[in-house]
Amino acid sequence: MEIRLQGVEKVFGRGARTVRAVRALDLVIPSGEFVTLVGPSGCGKTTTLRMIAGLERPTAGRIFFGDRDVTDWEPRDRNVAMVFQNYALYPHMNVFRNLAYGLRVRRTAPEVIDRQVQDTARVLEIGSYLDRKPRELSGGQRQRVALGRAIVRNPAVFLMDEPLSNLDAKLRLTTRAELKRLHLELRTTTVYVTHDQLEAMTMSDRVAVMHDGVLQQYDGPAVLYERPVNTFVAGFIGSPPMNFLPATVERSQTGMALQVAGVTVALPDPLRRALDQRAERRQVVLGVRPEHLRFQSPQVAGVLPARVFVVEPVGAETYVDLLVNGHRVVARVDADTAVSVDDKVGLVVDLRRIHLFDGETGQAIR
Amino acid sequence: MTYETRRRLRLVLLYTTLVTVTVVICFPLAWALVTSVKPNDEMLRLPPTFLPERLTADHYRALLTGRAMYFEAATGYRPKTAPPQHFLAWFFNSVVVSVGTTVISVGVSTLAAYSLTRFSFPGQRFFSYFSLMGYMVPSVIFVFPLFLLMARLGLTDRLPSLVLGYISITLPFCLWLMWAFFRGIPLEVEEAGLIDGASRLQVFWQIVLPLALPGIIATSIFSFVVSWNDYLIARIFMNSISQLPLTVGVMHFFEGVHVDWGLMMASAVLMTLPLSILFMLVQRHLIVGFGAGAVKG
Repeated sequence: MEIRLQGVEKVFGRGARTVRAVRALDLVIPSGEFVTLVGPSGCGKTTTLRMIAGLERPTAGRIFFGDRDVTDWEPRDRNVAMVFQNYALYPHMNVFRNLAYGLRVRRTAPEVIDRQVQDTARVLEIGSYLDRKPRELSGGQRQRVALGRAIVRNPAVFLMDEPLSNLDAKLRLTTRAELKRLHLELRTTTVYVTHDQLEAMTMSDRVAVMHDGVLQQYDGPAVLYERPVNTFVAGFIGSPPMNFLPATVERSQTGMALQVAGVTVALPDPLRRALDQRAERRQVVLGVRPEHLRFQSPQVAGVLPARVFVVEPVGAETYVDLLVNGHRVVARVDADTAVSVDDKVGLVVDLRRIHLFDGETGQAIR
Repeated sequence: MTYETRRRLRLVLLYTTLVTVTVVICFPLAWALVTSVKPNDEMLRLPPTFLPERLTADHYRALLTGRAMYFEAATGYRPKTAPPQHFLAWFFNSVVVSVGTTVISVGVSTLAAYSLTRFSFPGQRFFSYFSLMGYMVPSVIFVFPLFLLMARLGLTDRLPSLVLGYISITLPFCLWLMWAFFRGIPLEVEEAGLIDGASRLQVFWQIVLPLALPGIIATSIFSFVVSWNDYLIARIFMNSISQLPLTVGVMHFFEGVHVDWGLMMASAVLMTLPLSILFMLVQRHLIVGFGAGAVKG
C-alpha cells in the first residue's frame, strides 16, 4: 500500500500556545518499503505517524492510501496496525486475547482467529505464554506481543512508534535485526519512527529526517550519509557526528581556496566549480566525517594544527577528540594509533570527502 | 538487649496493639450479636452474662414475621405503634434507596469522569473544580435547601427524594475517584483498541471499563455505605412509618421510656449483614485487575 502525504500540517493549541508540529509535509512512502521518520524529540515525527494512523486529524493537507483519500477515515477503517512505544497491551487480557482482539472485533471466525494467533505466536516464539497476562511478561516478551498484535491481522500498513526504545541495549540490537528480517519476509509497507539515527540507517529503505516539523531530507541511508542537504542532516546522521569548522572561501591565483584554522587548502574540482559561480569571498562551514581525518606530524606543511583533548578507545577503533583552533573535532582512527592526551598533532583532511555548507543558511554547496 | 529479644519484643507489642484495636472495634458488634439472641429477662440482668444462658430467636422472629405477640407475653405491654411489623418494609426501603443511589452515582460519575479525562470541551476546567468544591462542603449545609427543593417537587416522604439526596452527597466524590482512576489508564491502550478496529463505544466497554473495575467497585462501596448508613437526610425527608429506611425506622424501638434492646440489637445485626456480604464479595476485586503490565514501569 503506497502512502502519500500532501501538504500535511498539524497545529496544536490556540492563540499564544500554538505549536506547529508538522509543516507542509509532502511525503511518498512506496508500497512495501520500510520508511523511517527520524529526528530529535519534538520534530513532528510521531505526530506524522499518528496522522497516518488516523489518531490525529491533519489541520491541513490530505493523506492517501493508494489512490484513496483517507484523511477523514477512522483508524479502524484504514487497516493499519501500530506498535506503541510503551506497547499498550490490554492489561486485563492474556496474550492470546491481546492478539485476537483485533480479529475478534472484526468478527473473524473463531477457528480462523485461533489459527492466525497460533501462526503469529510461532513466528514470534511467544507460543509458550499465550495464557499469561501482560504484567507477567518481561519487557522483551511484551514487545513481541505488541508486535504480534500488529502482524496477526495482516494489515496493509505497519506503524511503529519507537518500538525498541524501552528495551535494553542488547535486546534492542537483536530485535532490530529481527524486525528487519520480518519486513523482508512480509514486505508490508512500514512506517517507523525513531530518534535513533543508527536504527534509521540500519533498518530502512528510505529515511525522512525531520526537524522542527519540517522535512529536511528524504533519501536512502547511503545518500543521507554521503550527500546531506544541510548541516542539520549532516550533524544528525552518523556516529560520531560530522565535524564542523568555520572556514572562508577566497579566490586565489590557483582558483578557489579554502582557509580553515589559518591554513589554506586547495578545493577539489566539483566544489571549486560550484563555488566559482558565486561571490568572491564567503563564509562557509567545512564538514568532515570523523573517518576522513588522518594524523600527520604537525611540522608537515598544510596540515591542521590540533591538540589531543581526550582519547576514547571503543575496541575495534579509537575516537580521538581534538581541539582545532578552539573547535572540538573528532577523528576516528585505528585502535593501534599511538596518541595520548595533550599531544600536538597535524590533521590531514581527505579533501575528496569534505562537505561545504553555506555559512548563513547551512545549505550544502555542491 | 540482643537482636532476637528486640525482635520478639517488637512482635509482642505489635500483636498487643492489633488485638486491642480489633477488640475495641469488634466488641460493640459482638455485644449486639450476643444480646440479640438473649431472652428479654437475661438481657438487663446484673451482673451481665456475656454468653447467653438460653438462646432465643424471638427477636429475629419478631422482626422477620412482623408479629409482636411475644411482647405481650413477656411484658404484658403492647406498644401503640407496634414497630416490628415494619422492619421488612424498612429493610426493603434501604435496599431500594442504596441500590438506586449506587447505580445512578456510579453510572453518572463513570461517564462524566471519562469525558473529563478524555475529551476537551469548553468549561471543562470550571466543571471539574466546581464538582470538587461540592465535595468539600459539609453535607449538612445541603440538607435544608434539598428538603425545600424536594417539597417543591412533591417528592418528600417518597423514596426517590432519598435517592436524589444521597446522590447529591456521593456524586462529587465518586466523580473525583473515577477521574483519578481513568487518568491512570494509559491513552495508548485505548488508541491500540481503536487501531485494532474497535469503535469508541467498544473501546469503552471492552477495554476501559474492565480496567476501571477496581475504581467502579470502590465508588460502588462508597455510595452504598453512605446511603445505607445515612440518618440525617432520611430523618428530615421522610415521615410515614412505612416509608422509612432502616436507620430511622429502628429508632422506633425507643418507645418513650421503654427501649426494646432485643429488637434493636437484632436489627443492628441484620443491618450489618448486607454490607458485610458486599465487602466479602468484592474485596478480591478491589486489588486484582489493576493496570500493571500494560505499560512499561
